[in-house]
Amino acid sequence: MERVLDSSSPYRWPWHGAFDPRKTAFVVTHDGLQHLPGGHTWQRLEQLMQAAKSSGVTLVSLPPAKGLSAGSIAADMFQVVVPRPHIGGFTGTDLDFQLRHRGLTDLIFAGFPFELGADTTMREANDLGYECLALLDCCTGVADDTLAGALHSIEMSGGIFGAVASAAAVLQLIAGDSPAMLQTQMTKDVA
Amino acid sequence: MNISIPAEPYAWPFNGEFDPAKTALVCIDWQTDFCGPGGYVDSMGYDLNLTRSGVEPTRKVLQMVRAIPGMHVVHTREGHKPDLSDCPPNKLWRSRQMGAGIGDAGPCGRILVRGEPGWDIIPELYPIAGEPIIDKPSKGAFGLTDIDLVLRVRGITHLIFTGITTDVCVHTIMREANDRGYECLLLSDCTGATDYGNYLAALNMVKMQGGVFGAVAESSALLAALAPLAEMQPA
Repeated sequence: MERVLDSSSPYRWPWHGAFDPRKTAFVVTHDGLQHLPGGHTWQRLEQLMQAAKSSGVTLVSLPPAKGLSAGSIAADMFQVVVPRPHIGGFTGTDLDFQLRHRGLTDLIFAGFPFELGADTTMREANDLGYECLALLDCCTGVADDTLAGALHSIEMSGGIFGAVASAAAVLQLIAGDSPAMLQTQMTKDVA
Repeated sequence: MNISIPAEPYAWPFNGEFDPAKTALVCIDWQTDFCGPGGYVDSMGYDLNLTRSGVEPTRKVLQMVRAIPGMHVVHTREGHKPDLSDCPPNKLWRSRQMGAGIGDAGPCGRILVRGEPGWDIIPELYPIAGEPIIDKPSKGAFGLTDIDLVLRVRGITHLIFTGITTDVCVHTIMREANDRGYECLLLSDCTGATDYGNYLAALNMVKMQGGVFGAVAESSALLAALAPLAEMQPA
């Protein structure tokens, strides 16, 4: 049965039509304290991480190898922590092996800021055949224009690096709510 | 050599020591599929003027670099094996959704397939003898090819980028090179994207945080700085 995001762009993610939490990693990158999220974004991130983890999604943290400790973002929640010596998460690390031997093929990215670690790692992952999704509202930007450009580039040429979606859309996918089930629920509510 | 190129956010290279023997002009994916009529980008309906705008400035830079003794030129080319065995299924699927499937027959032969007319580099910027061509199945170049070895063997540590498209292949390769310690410069008028806003954002991303991926210059600044090094061209 098809299990995909309802409102991702430019296509309904994942491309193969069969979202499977056991094959999916939620990848969080950060590149400095000043880019960590506050308030609503932080709550959204925590809520999504909890829902993802309890559904069987693997939580992966890619903190900078130098400077900040891996503990900066809810460190105890992550099953996999791969410190990055560079900006791209696959460069000079065993990230590819860590994902492969767990059978993780689909990656959902949250980046703080998005333009550095998340963007570079998503490009590397996409080249290797991973199916990637960027979260529009679970990221921060170095600047508004660079964040907007980075996210918009993903959607070029039919999804050149994958797709983008909101945290709410991913929560709904994880919860397994199909449009038909929602329709049934709404009908009941009206009745 | 006491030459540096006016660039943003810093004069390039960072230490003011430009050495042509350690520097390569990297020409990224100047293929018909990305900037020619009937190619992949054209088939998807994008404006070719955006990806072609850098051709003439790049031709001038290429001409000067070829006249500088010891300076290197490296080309990259994106494409897949004829049986598509090196094409990830999601990449193939997405291209088909756009009506321009990789491997499908088009006006310039099979789209993004090695050996086809549309896959090759445009005549204006075609490689000459001695210039390595890196064939890649990917947007980036360092993850899945021998480009790092090719550069190292020649003692190249500094890279000047031209090519298409700015936000996709050029940015990915510049990020990869920067992560590996290469000192990188992007020529702003020698590159273009399928979306002008994405082009501008990509240039700004290089310049973030004091030049997180390197620096950006106009080709006129490079030409002026390197002119004294170029041997006289026969008329």
